[in-house]
Amino acid sequence: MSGSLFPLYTSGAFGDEIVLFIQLLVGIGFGFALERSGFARSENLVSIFYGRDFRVMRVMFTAILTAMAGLVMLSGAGLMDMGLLYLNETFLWAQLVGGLVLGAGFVVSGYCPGTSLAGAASGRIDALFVIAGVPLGSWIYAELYPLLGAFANSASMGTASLPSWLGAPVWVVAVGVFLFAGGAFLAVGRIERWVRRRFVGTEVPAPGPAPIRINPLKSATHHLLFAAGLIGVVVLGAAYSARTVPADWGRYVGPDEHEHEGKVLPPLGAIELARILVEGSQEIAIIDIREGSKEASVPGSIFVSAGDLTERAAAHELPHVDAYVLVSGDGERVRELAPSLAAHGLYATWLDGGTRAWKKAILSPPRTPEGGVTKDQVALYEERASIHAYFTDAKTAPLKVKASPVLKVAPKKRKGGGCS
Amino acid sequence: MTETLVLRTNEGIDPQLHIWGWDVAGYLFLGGLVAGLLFFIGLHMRRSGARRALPTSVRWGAVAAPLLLGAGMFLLFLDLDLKLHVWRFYTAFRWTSPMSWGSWILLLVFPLMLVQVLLIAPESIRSLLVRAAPASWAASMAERGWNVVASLSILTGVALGIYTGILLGASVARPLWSSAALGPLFLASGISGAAALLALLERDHAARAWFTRADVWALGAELALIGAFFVGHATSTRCHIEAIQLFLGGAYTAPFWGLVVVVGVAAPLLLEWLELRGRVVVSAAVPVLVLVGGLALRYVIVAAGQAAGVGGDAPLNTFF
Repeated sequence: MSGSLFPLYTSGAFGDEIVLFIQLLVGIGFGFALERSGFARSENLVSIFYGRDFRVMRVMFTAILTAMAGLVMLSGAGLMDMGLLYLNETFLWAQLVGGLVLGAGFVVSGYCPGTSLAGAASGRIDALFVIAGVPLGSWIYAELYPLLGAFANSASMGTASLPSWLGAPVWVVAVGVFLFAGGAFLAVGRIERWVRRRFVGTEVPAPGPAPIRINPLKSATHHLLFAAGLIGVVVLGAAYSARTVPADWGRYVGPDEHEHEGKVLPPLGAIELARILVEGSQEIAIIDIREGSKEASVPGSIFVSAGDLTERAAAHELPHVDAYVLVSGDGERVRELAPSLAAHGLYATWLDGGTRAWKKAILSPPRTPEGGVTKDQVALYEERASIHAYFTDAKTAPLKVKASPVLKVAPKKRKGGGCS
Repeated sequence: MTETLVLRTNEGIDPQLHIWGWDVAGYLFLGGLVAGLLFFIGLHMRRSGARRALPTSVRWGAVAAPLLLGAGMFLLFLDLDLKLHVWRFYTAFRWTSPMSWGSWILLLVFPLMLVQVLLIAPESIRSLLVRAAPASWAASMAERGWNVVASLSILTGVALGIYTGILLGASVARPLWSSAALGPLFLASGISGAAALLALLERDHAARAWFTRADVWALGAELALIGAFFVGHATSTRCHIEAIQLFLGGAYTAPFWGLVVVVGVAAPLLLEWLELRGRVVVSAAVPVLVLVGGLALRYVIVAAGQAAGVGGDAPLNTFF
């Protein structure tokens, strides 16, 4: 489960309070589904490894197919931006070893972190031990990190996904996963029948649940849904691929501790910057690089000389904000500085025209429109006047500011993912 | 930039609005739980009648009740600023003050609970107490008044449960608390908490199912009373309408709807209902959820009630 309600959360459709509440409902639903499908019983998970009962694998693959088909179809229909999806970075060898260790834990305990919570909720004592093991294991890993760190951080592949790694269109990969899952469903059914047949005629009762009587209607529905998913993925996935390049799939770009992928954003005009400041809608830092006069500076500026700037960016000494707005006297020098901030993984832009433009557009009163003006011009004048008043302490009527522009920065890095 | 500062840093100029903390919430929870226990003990004493056959959990509940109420009153004692003056509560009785009513109710409930311990506690505990002569005499007296003790138990249980809500509701200056629904709401929550606790203690399947069913009714009533609480506020004066916004998008929305309504009432209600219909088997986790929800209800109401004052949820000294 990821930490946030994507993509509704990032689009700002709800407040934090409502999002927390919805997360709770989703969590309860998830736990209930886990419990009902038998994931809370360690016997069910372990019986995969004896070939008796593959229900956990079926549910897991169904969940993967459903989520994948949903993502492909929604982004194909243009309802979702895959670029915003957060994927954990891939460290090939470390994750292979980690996966095996985790898998060994699955076999021994019969739980994964998520199902152990479901197991504990349904009153299983062994699940409580698994829950206690999670912080214990994390602690041991943290203690050993000085030894393991080099290995854990080696062989980084960035945020890799199958489509970007194979260079294949999304729909091709999705169809491949569908076919693989379909094949696996058929294969495990055979294995189950084969294992159980070995008990026929012996005195030992057959392990696993009694053979399920197949309801023809249900079975037909399942096949139909599978086919519908397959067709949907091909059609909408192809539509998606036609619009984008494979590498865009799930490619998360943003400030990161390991990889620095910053960006130079388009410059801001004085009015645009003023709107952002008035609305307080985004976390920005305004960095004034002038060394002499600090005249007509933008309120809230911090003063860092051009020479110190990259050094302080490299040392992570700048305030942690979404984007940095560079300001100079005329807006020329900062144009060249912005890329160097971006090189340190930051989102950088600059005030077009510098403090000279700020002084002209914001700090001096706007000219009153005269004779034969349109409604738009009046509205523009009113906005200018209120911005002017806001930044110069002049008395004024309530602020009339148009919506502030949105600096397109990547969402903050969140933890999460995996089977937990 | 225009910066408006309202300096309210003078000590004693503003009233202190946030004066009740976790200890009061904990007391209200334990008080409500004991009220529910008294209710069920009385009910089962009446049900059993001459057979004297009580579920084991009820017998243990009678032992737990005075201990829980003692713990609750200790929390109340912790909340007192002048701890040595606690005896002054008992030098006066003001019939207009819910505080005064409460301190006397609490004092009078204890003898009743001790009689119940002598009457119905599990044999291992009872035999220890009845050895003492006066206790033995009291037990034999109480044995004759079994039905009176039972009825008294139900009545005091209901009174104590309602009182914990009225204690808050009496303060007109806190719009969130001034609701007639708060008393019955806390009573229903106390009864559901007690049913959950007894279901948790009970080993006998039939008796456990009885408490689960009782819990379903109590939780259902609680849900309805939460609805009444909201309707009451939403149709009342401006300050009530603004106070309830704390739960409708305001600072306490997630704790109230998440912890209290979903975790504490709706989810256990659904699971217990499914269990009674034989659809799922629930574990100890469900009664624990009900108890957590009961504590959360008191905590959220106590905290939010004090936030709903001048300046909404903004801390007074720092708002601009």
